[in-house]
Amino acid sequence: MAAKPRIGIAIAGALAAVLAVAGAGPALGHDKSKHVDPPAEGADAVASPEVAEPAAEGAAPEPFPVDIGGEFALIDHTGTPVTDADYHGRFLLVFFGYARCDSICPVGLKRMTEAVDLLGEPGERVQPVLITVDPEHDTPEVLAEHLPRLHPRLVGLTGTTEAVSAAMRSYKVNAKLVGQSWKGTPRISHGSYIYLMGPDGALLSILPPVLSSEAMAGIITRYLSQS
Amino acid sequence: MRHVTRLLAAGLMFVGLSLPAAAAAPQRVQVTGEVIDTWCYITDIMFAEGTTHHQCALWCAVGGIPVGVLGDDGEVYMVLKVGDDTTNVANPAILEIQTHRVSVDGELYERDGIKYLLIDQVVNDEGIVTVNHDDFGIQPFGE
Repeated sequence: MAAKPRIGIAIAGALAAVLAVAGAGPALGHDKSKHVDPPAEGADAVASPEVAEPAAEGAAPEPFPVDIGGEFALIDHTGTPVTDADYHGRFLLVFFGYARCDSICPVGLKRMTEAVDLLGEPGERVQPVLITVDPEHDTPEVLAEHLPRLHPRLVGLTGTTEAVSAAMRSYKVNAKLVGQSWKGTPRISHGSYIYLMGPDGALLSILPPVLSSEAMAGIITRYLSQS
Repeated sequence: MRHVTRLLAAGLMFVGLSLPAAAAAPQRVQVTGEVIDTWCYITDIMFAEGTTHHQCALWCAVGGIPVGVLGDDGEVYMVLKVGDDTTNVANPAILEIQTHRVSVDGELYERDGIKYLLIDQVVNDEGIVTVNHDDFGIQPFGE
């Protein structure tokens, strides 16, 4: 796969500009997701709607009838082989990204893990997971060093190129090397939706990373209350 | 007026967040509207329509930011796939129609107040019809 440095720099520049203006980059010291306005006052409020009231308990969550998710066999950041079955019984929040990403990954992962924190004690039933799209670099050791900076409960999954590719196919996630930074760091274009999987491994919801952590928590709360 | 319409559209996207997560079965729909970069549009961090924002929208799509269709009905439809492609990341079909006014056929899923679109085909492509860079400049890069 031929690198296209100029494209990579342009993408990084565009995303950095966008995310910087959004105030969403963790390095910027301003977390817009914490800003909750009354819903009628504009799009900031839209990006940070109030946490929704949970639905009535008792009704089992209905799977999202889209063929996303499924089996995977990977290695977690402690070096332990894991499969999707190992997470059955818990809710999963799955994000595909990579440790060296400095554009959408820090934002998506920050919002996803903040949502888990906002859930409080019920959030202990929710496991946030990063599946790398850069397995050659993101070894268990690399992930073990990187992930605690993001969240103490964030699990990193990696594996052989074939195993990671299989997981990406299950989730209909594509990733492509599109260039590199001036430092030579790869720029990998990849999907940024966050997938909420149920205790049985079925897809429950797809969370766009444009949602605030509060909005994500509201959606997750609904499913927690139904299970 | 356009700004008000945009805020309304963004508000409509998530107005259903307090509603139950139902609507399991997809609906066959045809949606007409502008292909947008959902990050810049929803967060309202800049004017994210038309020629003003086309360059940014392309790079954001390549960078993995979800692409949407801002329908004439004011709704934002999150695109999950186009045609036979299994993903929407760096999808040439998406990049070729970014910022275009299109009519698409596909399946609509509603979940947690969010509308998701699996596009089967683009049945009409009018190209970029919102020519507004003289009004708003080129965002966020400038000329």
